[in-house]
Amino acid sequence: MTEPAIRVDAVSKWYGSLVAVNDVSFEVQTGITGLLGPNGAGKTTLLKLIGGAAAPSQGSVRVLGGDPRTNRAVHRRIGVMSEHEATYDLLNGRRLVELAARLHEVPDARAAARAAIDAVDMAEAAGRRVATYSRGMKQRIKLAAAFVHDPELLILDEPLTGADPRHRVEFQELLHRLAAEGRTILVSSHILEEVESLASRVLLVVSGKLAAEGDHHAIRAALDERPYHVQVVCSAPRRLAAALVELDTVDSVQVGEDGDVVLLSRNVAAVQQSLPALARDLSIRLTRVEPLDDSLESVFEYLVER
Amino acid sequence: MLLRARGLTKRYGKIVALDRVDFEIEEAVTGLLGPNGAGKSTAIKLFLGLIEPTEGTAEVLGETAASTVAVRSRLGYMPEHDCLPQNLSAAEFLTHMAEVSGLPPAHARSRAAETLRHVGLFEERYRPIGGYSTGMRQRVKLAQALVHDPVLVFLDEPAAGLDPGGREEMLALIRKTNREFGINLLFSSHIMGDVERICDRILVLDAGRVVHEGEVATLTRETETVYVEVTARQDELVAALRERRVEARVEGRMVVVPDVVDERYDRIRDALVASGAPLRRLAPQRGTLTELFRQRGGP
Amino acid sequence: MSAAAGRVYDLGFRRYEGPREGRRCAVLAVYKNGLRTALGLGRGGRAKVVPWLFISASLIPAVVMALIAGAVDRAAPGFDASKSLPSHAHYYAIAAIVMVVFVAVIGAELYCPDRRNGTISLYLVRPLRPADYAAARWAALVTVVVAAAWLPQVVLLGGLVLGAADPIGYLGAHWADIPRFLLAGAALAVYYASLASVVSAYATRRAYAAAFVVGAFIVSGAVVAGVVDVLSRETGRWLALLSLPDVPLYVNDLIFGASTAGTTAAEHLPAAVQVGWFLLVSAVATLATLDRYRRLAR
Repeated sequence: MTEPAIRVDAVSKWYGSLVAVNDVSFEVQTGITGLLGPNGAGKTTLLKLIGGAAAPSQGSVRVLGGDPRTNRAVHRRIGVMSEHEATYDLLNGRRLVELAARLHEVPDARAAARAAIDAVDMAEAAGRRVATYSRGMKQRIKLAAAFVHDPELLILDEPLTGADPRHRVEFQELLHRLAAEGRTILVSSHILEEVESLASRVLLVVSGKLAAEGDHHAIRAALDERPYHVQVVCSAPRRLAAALVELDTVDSVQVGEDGDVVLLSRNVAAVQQSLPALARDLSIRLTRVEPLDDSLESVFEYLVER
Repeated sequence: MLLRARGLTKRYGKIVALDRVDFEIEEAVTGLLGPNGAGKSTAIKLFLGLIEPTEGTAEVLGETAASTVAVRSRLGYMPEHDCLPQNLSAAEFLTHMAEVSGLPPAHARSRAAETLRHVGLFEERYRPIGGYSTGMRQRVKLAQALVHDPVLVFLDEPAAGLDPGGREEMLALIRKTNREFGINLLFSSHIMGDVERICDRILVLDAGRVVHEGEVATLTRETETVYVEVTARQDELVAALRERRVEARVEGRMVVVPDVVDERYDRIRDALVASGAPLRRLAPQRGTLTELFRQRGGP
Repeated sequence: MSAAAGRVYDLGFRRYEGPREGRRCAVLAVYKNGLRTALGLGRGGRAKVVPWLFISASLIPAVVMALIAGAVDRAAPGFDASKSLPSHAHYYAIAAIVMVVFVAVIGAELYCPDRRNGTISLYLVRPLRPADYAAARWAALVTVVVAAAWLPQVVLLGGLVLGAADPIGYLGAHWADIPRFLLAGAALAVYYASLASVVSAYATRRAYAAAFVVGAFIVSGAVVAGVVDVLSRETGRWLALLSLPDVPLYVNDLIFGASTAGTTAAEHLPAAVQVGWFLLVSAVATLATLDRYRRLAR
């Protein structure tokens, strides 16, 4: 089995009596992984530990097989982008990225910088000083600086702050491309709908602890104390509702004012199997079936509430 | 009609921030969208009378914005950046802001108390703002924009920087501000999902020009294409659909069926039964606002 | 028995139908807020420390002076102490440093935080002009400083009157001091407030603004004092006008007919020049403050 890109093992980090990370363990493989959690949950601290900017108070962090804090070779293979870092405002965009390239000992810094700047659509503005950039532009130039040296692992903390819609779309495409090339990308973001379309796996931290990990559908399935809410729009709502209530896989059924039916079930797989047949047997036309709490947003909400 | 721009132009030396734009903002929740530097902030500053147009007019409630300061008493503004004093309580701060908006002291005090209740701040309103959580601060920011009962409130990225829980709360509060309080909003954001959920209309600016104006309902209306998502036996489903003369294609986890009306839904249902595929989702495709920006170089 | 009727009251949002007043109401609100900020009212204990500490500190010289005068008066009755002991005329020169620090700190508190924490944006979109906001802050600063300038003088007067062997007689002989110190105090307040305002209008941090004001006063006073001795008499007189702490003291000295300024060279200049210069500096500083805020909206 190949070594995972990131292995965090029983890691804790405290600052005096403030425990930012509390006995967390997980592995991150190649591809895009999302890191989520409410404010103050410890995401930024975790990213610092993984990026090598801080040492754990307990436990170990291994990145690309080495210690990110002390191992220079590992450092060269990581790219970090943090929204909290200030930029060198006196430099222009091109110089900033070239500087980052040179610091990572990239052979042809200028060419690498040019490629990275093009990839983030900053070619036009690269000649201007960073101080003149809007926030979204600063983010893009920082992103270019983070991957100019072609790192295997990219750690991105809220990379899309201030980015306008077009750049958000381009950014998703860029990350998918980088991941497809075999890289590992760890993205922390508050915009769950974007993380949902970006990452196949998520890590969710709450109050310094790892609350859940995996594909969000799988996480949802693991939250079995919560019944699934499924909305059904059909040609005969009350008849369907009456039939659904008789199934012992359905916990309860509500009929809304607009005639939509919402069923609650703790055995949603069984309902998914039996619903079309039930409708057919009753000659009811189904025009919509929607899980209401299967999204990453719902999963997040449930996990944070616990 | 609340705001009107007529030939509105603003130049800063050689830079044209707004180029002869014409548009109207109605009584609704309007999304003001566009790339950074498109002229959105400039437009807002012109309507608030903070800057003067180089050419053209910006009218608020029928009056030219820059000519009188008084018209600002009917407008509210919730900026994106931090703007709250740390050492005042929300109650005192809000009472003060109400007075600065022209409400006499006694009215200001009661209006401030009411507004704090509406945005969901209770005992904490007597504590200094410096100790508030981010969510509470956003509520105070919104409250100061509402306290004087404005006709229109400008909201600049109100959910920026909030964690998912906070964002949900803020969006719900904004929706409530319009639906329950009846206050019109001009809402600037980069997150299309939020705009779709809250806005009735959108106005899109790019490089100082209006590139799109329209209703969200129209842009996100359902099409006749239907997505069917099953948890297993996807191939069997496609075969069963084909047997019932329904053409479908596969896109990742989705089976996409075009031109679905009336009894075609029944054929899909029957194909599901025949194939034994467990149905997770059956839903029509909708337009999204992101499509406006997906094309090369924007809309 | 009649059934009690149940009622549910609508607590929903209601439109505001009350009066809406214009700029005057807004300016007054900023002014009142300025007074409360300066004195730390409604802002917790910590905010009160500085203003009240300074006010107390400024009272000390007054109290001491009153006690000394009283003691002298009792030891040598009939001896008109006011001729040789420090009195109202000297107060502002003695308390100068305390007052400068007070105005610098309070001034910074009135202008800098709103810009630093972004609250100024909320004012700029309300129905008042940027210059109105700055003027209201200026007025609040002047009010507080005038009060802080008059209070010790009143205490001193009280002390001298009560300590005198013949209080009524003392008051009768010295009543003219009252309008004098009121005028001198007001002039001093306006001058200090204007200078503190213009510095705070440009500095983003309170500490820098306050330090700059205090530093400018101390340094200009010391430098001018040193240089004036070296120069010719004529040049020295004009140069003395550049001593920031002395400008209001020249006015004070004209009012009282005393000589309390640190560098008295300028007192040989015509009174009109001294007063005119004082007015010019105050006016320019005030106008610069208003102008600075006018430009902020762009």
